[in-house]
Amino acid sequence: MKNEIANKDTESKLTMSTNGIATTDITRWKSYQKVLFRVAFIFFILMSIPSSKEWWTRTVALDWFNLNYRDVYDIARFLPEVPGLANYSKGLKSYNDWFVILGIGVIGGAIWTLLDRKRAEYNKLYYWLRVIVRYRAAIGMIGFGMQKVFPVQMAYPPISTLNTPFGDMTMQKLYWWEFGISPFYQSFTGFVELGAGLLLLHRKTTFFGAVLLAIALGCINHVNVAYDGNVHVYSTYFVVFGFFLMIYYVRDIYHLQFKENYTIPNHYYPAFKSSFWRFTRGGLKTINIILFLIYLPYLQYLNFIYDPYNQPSAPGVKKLRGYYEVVQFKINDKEIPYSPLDSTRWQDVAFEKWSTLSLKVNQFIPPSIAKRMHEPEVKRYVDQNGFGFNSGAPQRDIDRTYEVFAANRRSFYYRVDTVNQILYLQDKATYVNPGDSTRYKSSDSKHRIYHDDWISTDSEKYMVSEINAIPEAGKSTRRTRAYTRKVPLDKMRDRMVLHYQTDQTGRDVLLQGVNENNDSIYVVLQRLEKKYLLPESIFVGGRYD
Amino acid sequence: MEMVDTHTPVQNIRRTEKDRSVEWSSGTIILFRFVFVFLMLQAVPLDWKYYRFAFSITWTDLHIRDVFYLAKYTPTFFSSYDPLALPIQSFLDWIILGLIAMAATAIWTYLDKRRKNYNDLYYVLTVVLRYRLAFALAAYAWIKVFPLQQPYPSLSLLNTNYGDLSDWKIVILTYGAGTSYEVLLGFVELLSALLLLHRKSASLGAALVIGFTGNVLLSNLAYNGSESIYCLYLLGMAVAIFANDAYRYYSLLVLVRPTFPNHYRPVFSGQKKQARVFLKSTYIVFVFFLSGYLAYSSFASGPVAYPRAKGLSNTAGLYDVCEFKINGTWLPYSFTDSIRWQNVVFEEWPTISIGVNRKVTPDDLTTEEIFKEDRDRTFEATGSTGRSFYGYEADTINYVLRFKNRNRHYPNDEFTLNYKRLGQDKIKLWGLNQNRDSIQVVLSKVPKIYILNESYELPKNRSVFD
Repeated sequence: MKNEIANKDTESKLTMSTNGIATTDITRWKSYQKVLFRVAFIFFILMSIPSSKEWWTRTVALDWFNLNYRDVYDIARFLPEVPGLANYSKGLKSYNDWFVILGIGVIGGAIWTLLDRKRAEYNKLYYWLRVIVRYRAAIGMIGFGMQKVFPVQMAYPPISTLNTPFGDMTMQKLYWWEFGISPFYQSFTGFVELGAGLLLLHRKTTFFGAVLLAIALGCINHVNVAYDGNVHVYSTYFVVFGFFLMIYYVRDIYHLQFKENYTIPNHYYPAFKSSFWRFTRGGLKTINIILFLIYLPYLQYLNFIYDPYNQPSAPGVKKLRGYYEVVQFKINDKEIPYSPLDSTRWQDVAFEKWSTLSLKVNQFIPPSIAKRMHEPEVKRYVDQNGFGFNSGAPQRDIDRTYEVFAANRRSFYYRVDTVNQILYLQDKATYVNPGDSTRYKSSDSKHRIYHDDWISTDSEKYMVSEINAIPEAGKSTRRTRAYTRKVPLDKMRDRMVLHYQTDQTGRDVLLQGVNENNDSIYVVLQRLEKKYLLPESIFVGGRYD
Repeated sequence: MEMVDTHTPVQNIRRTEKDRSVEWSSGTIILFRFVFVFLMLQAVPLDWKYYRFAFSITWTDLHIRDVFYLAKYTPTFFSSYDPLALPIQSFLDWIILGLIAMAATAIWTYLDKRRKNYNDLYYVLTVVLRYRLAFALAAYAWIKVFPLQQPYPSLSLLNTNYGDLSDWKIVILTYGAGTSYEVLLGFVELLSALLLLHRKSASLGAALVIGFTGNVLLSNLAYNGSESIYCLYLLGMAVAIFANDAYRYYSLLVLVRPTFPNHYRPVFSGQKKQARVFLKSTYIVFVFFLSGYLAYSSFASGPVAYPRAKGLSNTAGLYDVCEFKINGTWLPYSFTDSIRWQNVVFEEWPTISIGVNRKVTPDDLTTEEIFKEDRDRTFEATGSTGRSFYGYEADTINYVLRFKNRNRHYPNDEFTLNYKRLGQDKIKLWGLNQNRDSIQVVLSKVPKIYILNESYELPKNRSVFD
């Protein structure tokens, strides 16, 4: 058909399109569309329902009156799980649950096709499926985005990392630090994710939200493959959701853009006529907005200020902060001079602004560790350095191992008795060495610091309890519960008890006490006023004053 | 629950819709004139320096570097002469171009008052911009597809502390470490360039550029890179191309209303048709085949960021400085001494880096450059402190190494040392250092394993943690 809109002025050089009108008759679907829809419906419903036992236990256990940001985030954080399937970390195998769910979709779709042959269309069902997929994706994205808007997901590198060679860190760690060094950029990417979430919540902007979702999470997926991360499955999940939501618009776009037709979109929306449905819809929307767009950002803000989840939140000893050279090192009264190759002598000590002491010591790095994980010594090495795990969930400072990701460094969590000036240190890494598991009940005097009463009652008096180490506003039931629970792995941790002595400035420090093997150590430290080339950032979380 | 199908029948809607492309508002017309002049001045190579550069190229022996700079053209008014590279715009150039475009707009508006639209000129503008933009993107795409842009960190850089690197250097090295991500980004750029070639897919390509280059712009701002203006240069073009379809998308997808397509397409006949085919195929061959091949051949002969010459054979590695004597005095290991060397890295190419506790003034390189000559390839020595980088010439007959500092802040830092191999893993160096102090050093190779190289495939649980 001839297009009626002519432009006489430009006729000589350009010709008008004489294409037709494109529209879709949504009252009658083609049979293949119906079959595909049935499969997709079952697949995406199963994908959108939290099916892991873990999700239900933790959601039921929530204390709604004293939430942690992570409680709300956790509601939005789940992958479908088929009971009984193994968990793989690499390759196509790691998507095994999805294949099973797709299989269920195909079988279910076939049965449904047999039972429901007369249906002309599924407009209404399609609409509601898209609502569910949209909301699932939107909530996930808002959760993702909020952690970066207030930049806590990737912490700014601590002193120990600033003094770690580039090659002594894992790929994943490098990628995360790259975001950590620019909290402003991290915040920007958070707004992009948040933006995708908001666009998805709104029906009219769904297409743009879906595009943003697929592209942003597609990048995250590839980052996880390229940098050996572990959320490649979870990111693919959202990419699939994004593409599914885009399908609805593809035909119209194709006609408008490529066939250059006058395109008449035909969308189906339910009209909420009865007041019951209007209230239900309004109510659900309001709950969603209050929970994810008001309460979650508020909790995330508190987390950023008081308890940034990827770094410890209790302040460290104020005088002892900074990067120290180990001037003198004696073990059992025997002095060991500095050598970069010695495997016992400490080379430097970093006191972070939080409750961590880390030290550099030359360790033998086993070659081909990725391939030799079945060897106990290699596994031990990997675990000891925290290469094997990195999770945002831990509440206790001692479990926040984000900073412990470098070769040739050990990191210790400490509690301090500032009156008697004693540091009680525990290794932040928990590796299981058969010999270590019995130290706590051994009668060998060598193991006395592994007994339950290793902190003297005198010291206990002067210590701030771990739960109260941060201001009231930052506390939550989740955090309190984590500190009151007994953790069996804690018994495996190496311990040290060190008395410290210093002047007002904290420049020169003497550490004296016993190390993890009950050897007596005598360590003289001197602070180095180091200026880093890497710019500092003011937009960092935590209160340590 | 009641549901009503609210879609409006075709015949009722059509008469009420108006094709906005027929009659432009007067504001749009004036804006268009400005944009047209401004972007044409930006995109069409009018700057004489461009031709000076183009004529300096040996066209019979092209290098990816030549294509890279041809594609990175920006008109500049104030730039110092640099025979090695084309100058890149500053914000001041934008102000001047803006003023010129404003003056042109005023005159044009005075002379041409009857126009209802500029669909024809808009089409001409988008053609110019599409090909200009596609060339710019393809050049950057090829050096990512064949990962040249961000190299894998050299041994010296693996042994540089994180805090001793600049933020921009960290970005480059992090991308360089994750090679396959760099390659993927290259393919995304390549895809957007290809989409721009076709009239109908151009706005999709432009949208991709807006997302991609917008992100690059933000990274430049956040990590102190120096190519923000160039990003804006590309973004301006992409926005102008996308604008043609922006309202259509809004109308179709957000308003969900019947939407008019683009009506205008060029008609070529006879010789014009042949000329078009010829020009377009030449362009495609040059931008997509020849450039790709050049990037590939560069990649095949080693990373362009580092020197290509070979260093002293069998020396590459990290060395502990087990003995250090200066003016007759032995110095023991020290963590903080500003004279004693702590460790030395021999690269595969003729560079060593010395770790010494001395403040090094960092050499900055925050733009993307490609150099042909080894002496210009100083990427390794830029954006870091903590190590001093020396290029060397080896006289393997007299066993002499002539060192020259690679950091441009230390042009006079040169010295010559004798060397002797003590077995497989030890090297002895002696002679006068840059301060004419006599030094004698014994280096011993450390069989160091880098977690970065090992980390790939470390087992971990599949998770929804982050």
